[in-house]
Amino acid sequence: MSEPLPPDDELDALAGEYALGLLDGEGIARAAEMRRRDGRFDQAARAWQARLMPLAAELAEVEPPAAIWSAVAAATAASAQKDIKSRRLAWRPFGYGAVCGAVVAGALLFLSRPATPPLPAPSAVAALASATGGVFLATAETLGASTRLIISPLHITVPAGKSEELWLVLPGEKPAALGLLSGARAVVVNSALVPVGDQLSTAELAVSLEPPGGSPTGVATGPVIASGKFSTL
Amino acid sequence: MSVITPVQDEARIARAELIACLHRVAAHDRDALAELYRRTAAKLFALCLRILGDRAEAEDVLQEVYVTVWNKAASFDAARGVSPITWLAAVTRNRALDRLRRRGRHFAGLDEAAEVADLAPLADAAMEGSETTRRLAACLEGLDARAATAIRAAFFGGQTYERLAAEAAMPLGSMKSLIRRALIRLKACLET
Repeated sequence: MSEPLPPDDELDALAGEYALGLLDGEGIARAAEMRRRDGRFDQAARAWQARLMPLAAELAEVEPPAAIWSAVAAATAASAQKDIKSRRLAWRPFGYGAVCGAVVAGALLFLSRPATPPLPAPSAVAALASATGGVFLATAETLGASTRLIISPLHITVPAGKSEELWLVLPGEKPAALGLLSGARAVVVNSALVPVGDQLSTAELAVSLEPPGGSPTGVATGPVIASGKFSTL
Repeated sequence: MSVITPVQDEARIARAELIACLHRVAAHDRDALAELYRRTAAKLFALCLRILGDRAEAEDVLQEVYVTVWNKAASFDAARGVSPITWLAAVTRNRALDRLRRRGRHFAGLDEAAEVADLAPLADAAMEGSETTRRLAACLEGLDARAATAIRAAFFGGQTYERLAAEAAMPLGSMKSLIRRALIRLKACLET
């Protein structure tokens, strides 16, 4: 028999046992029933899953044989979209459809890089599609009373001698300049102008081509090369 | 006033891109699936191999994982703060453990296994920062060595209490006590 723990610890210990898969048949059934009835227990079990999953990151990567991808490709071929046009339209329901391109070679998921602190969860995303096929992916993170945007350009090329300026467009207001982007580099935008929380879904971002250093007049002077709205997550 | 600075933190970009990738996969975009595979397959294959210890089976499961992701990407829920890579690793671990159980080495009936398998993680930023991995390793190190070994064995091997107790030649009740207390300490350690 195991000794009793304080009630809160009891819930966490059981959730951990469940997430790890330590329980036997009857124990699993009981825990599964608890998950359905008790949101707190469900949360606790999911939290354990997240806590423990970094164990998988300790493993050295092993390249699978090429035949695996061929098999996956074959198995998924039937339900795949047929042409690029319909794919582009299909992006819309998600509010964004960025190219998840090979932007940061070596920005690998399971990291063998210097320590990075845990990231805040994204609260909204927008894909600013450009006519040339590239995309600016904007991810919003809410930090207390402010919103921070991460703008990642994917497959974007800027003509020589031009700067890309980022604009915030709110309903019924003139576009407000947020600043200049930085070529192929992703940037962080900290601006008090960006709405917080659900209000973000009313906002649109746009990128225009401006003379070096940005629009001299405070309004966009060059062509808008990409724009998109936020969907909150 | 706004301030624009280059992103120093590539993990953040990688996550944003993976989220975008998964949403495109949910819309059945095969280029996105290929990209997702390119970025994640080597890591998920390592996890399959570690759990199954058999190359052919690991290959089967890896294939199943990406077909599952193709069909289930819509249930990936970034809204809950779930990190995409944690989600993928959880899908992979569940599939691989399911295969282990089916092999008959381990107990738990299949229905019960399915019950465990739909436990999607509630993630913060797990697995995206090497800091997160390092901290987990450090916290495990701080536990009773038998408990840490047992937790790893359960994570990678799907061992239940009975089997862990048998392997460590400990009474079942002692193994339970040891692990339950270790889990509470581990949680406290990770939260500080």
